Amino acid sequence: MLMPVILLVVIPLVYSAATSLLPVTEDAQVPEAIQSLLESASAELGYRQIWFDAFTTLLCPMLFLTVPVICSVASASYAFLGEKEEGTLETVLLSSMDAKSVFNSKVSSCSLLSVVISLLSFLAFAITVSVADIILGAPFFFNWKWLILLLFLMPALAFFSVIFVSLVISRVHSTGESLQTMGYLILPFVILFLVQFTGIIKINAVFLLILSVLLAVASVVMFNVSARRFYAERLLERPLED
Amino acid sequence: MDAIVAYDLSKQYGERIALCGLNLQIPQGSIFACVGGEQSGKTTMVRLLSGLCRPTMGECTVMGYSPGVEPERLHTVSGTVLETARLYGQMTLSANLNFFAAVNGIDSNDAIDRSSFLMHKLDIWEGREEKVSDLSTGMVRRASLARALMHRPQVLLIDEPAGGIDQETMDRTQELISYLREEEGVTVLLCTRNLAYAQLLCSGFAILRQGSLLAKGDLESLRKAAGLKYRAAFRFAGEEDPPDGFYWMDGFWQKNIEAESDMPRLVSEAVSSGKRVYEAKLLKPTLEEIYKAYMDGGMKNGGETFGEERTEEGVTSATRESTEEFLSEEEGGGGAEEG
Repeated sequence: MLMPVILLVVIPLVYSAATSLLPVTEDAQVPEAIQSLLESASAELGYRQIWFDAFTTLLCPMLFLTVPVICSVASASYAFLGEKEEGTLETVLLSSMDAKSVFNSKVSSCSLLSVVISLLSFLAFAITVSVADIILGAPFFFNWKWLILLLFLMPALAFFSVIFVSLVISRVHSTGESLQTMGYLILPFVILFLVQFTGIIKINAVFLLILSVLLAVASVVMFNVSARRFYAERLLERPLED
Repeated sequence: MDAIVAYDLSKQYGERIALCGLNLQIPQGSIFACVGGEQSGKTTMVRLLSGLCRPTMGECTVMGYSPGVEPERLHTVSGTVLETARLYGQMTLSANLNFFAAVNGIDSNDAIDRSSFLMHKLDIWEGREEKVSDLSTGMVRRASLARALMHRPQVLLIDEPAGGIDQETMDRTQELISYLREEEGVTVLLCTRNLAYAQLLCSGFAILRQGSLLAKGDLESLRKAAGLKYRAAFRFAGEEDPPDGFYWMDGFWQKNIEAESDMPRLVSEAVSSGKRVYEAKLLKPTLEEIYKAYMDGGMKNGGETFGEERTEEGVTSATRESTEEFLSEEEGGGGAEEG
């Protein structure tokens, strides 16, 4: 629970404090390359406002998207690997609930938990950044990109991350090992958002919408594959027993 | 009707054969034990019957349901206790029982009644509000049994832990299983290494070794198949010479007899011959002795399986040979002591 707070409250707070307090020379200019990535009319904004706008528009989406990944991987690791390690998954599979229902309930509860935490984190982020926007006189951060992030990409990523963990359940040996898979999921998004600074791509609302659809389709396909692989023998195989 | 049926049931993990061609029928309402040592296939059998793994060959059913085809239906009529199937350590005992009752579709009021009954019967009521991780091993074991019985199963599959169980757990389990059999008609399959416990609790037995069934049946048929005999044991006054055919063992003059009905005749003969009989008792071979006879016989046959399942000739000859050797060693020991 600490990571979302650090990512979406502490970092924006530190950045806004640094932006407003650090000394700036009168002829200081934001690089053209950065300004060209922003949608706001940067001509009307000052040096500090542009840097804060750049932060909320270009970097904060990346920080925000790490939250559903962290929450999904953490919850799914404990729900799948944690239960497997503790021996309670075996007990659940001995109940009259079928394995598919167990799988569905685990995936849906982990995804839902991740989405709820992400939404709450966004709320805290929105309050923090809005206050900073008012203090700094920067444009309001929320735009079409954020709307797509919030409504489509974040839930799709939360779902995808849970499914990803469920797929690797038989390949990893512990909850700790499963938590490390977080890196595989976060890294592509970090690279994607950093690549835009090179000018190769420009991440806009349409791009994010297409990404959300692709992620959702991939999640559905992986969900079906993972559900088929979710049966007692594959999950609990113990070759050395009495 | 047979509650549990296994036909040519086999399971292989890579190169290792965990269970090989098991044929077993356990009648409804009976308490049946599968006994065997390490890696005899007991746990594998329970896992196959409960649907936790799939057979490499053969098939099995529990109350007519195949674990591979209808695992959910199977789990509504069966309860399984395995060492590896644990309860949630951070939840209280009663919360665990109510949770698993809910997972099995039991109404919350029924769940409270049932959990209360089972916790009292198993003497774990005091620990109901404690976290499972804080309970003793014996209490956790009894709690697992309570969990398996929450949904009133018709068949109970129990795999005793390799490390054994404490006396308190043994007593409570025995008491509860006897009650369940009489009142609820539950069929019990107990897989254990504790032969004395199995003999105390069960009416039918299967002896397993290295994944193969050596023999099955009730104690009497196993005794006959193993070639073990009843023994008449006498204690006489003073240092009187024993009657013919008796040997000295464990503080008694003993003699192998064919049937229980021989006992009155021996007592009568001893008394009529002027012996002062202080004590006379009939010694029946225990499951442990029968098991040992099978194990020794099996070894002599280079690991070949025998017993009811195999050819009559092979069984009888192998078992008798080994038993005679076993008994002659004992007689030899007695003779030495006597001399």
